[in-house]
Amino acid sequence: MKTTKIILSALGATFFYFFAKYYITHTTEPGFQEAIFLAGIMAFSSFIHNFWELTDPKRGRNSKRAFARVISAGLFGFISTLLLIHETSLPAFLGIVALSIALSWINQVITGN
Amino acid sequence: MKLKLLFAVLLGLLMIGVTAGSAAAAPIHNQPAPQGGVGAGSVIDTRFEGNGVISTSTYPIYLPQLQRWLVYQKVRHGSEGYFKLTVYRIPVFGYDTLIAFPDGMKVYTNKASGMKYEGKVGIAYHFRKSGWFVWKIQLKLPVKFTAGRGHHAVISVGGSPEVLIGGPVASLVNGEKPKLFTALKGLLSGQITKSNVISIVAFALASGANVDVLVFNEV
Repeated sequence: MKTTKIILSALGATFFYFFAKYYITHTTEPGFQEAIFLAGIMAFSSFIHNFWELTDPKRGRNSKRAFARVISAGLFGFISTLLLIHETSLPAFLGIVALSIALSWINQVITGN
Repeated sequence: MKLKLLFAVLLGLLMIGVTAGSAAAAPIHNQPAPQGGVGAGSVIDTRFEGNGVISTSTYPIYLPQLQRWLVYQKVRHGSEGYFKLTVYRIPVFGYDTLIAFPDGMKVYTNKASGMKYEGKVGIAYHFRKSGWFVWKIQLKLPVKFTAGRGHHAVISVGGSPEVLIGGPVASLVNGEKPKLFTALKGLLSGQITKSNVISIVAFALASGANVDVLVFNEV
């Protein structure tokens, strides 16, 4: 896996950490429902961002790649939020970064991109 | 074939969102139809209401494929009224708005209804309505017209933070540069490709980003 991919992935995980933390601290008794909500946000946002892959014939219409990204973003959102709810700040942050890089690598293995 | 079907379904959903927004924007119970600012996948209108409002005029602004109005109001200096923000949008997650009032104007955030007050961001007041499918927002915010005699403006900017933040973050998590930024960069450098246009349109519709300016004169 390329270094730039790892850096981008870690950067995304850091942004998500602060975004999710803000959301969780503004929620009374965060739990499973918040994890589903943030997973939904990540999956839908990823879908919107990869929408062009499904419609542009010149770029290959790679639906497999687009859906792999949607699923991995949703999974990332769900597990990361649960980590953030049940762990203290530093372990949660490290776990989220590790998860992001791992999912990015799995995504690359599956789609070859 | 499946992709064509998927595309048709998605396009259909977007159309339903737009149609529902337009239909909802029609006058209900003698309320004026939203006429104000400009929104992507959303309709926005801001204006003052209440005893302190003397008159309301609208001036058309001609934009390509879209006609919107600039709302101009005369209000009585020192009197009270309320600021009303109405938004209809494609229902995707929550909606946040930042409202900048002129200096010296009294704003009673503790009496606001329809949205939750989140605090100040610089000079702007931050309000939020959260949820999975927020399609209609109506903020009523009591104010006192104490900005001083003369012309002033209230600027409102809004959108779904979940989509605006979540989109680029989801791309980064997958180890890629956010498509939105590369598409914007491409368009600015003259690369008007189908993928760039689709990315920006899809993002703009889902985010429901909008802006409105209300001009008023305290007399």
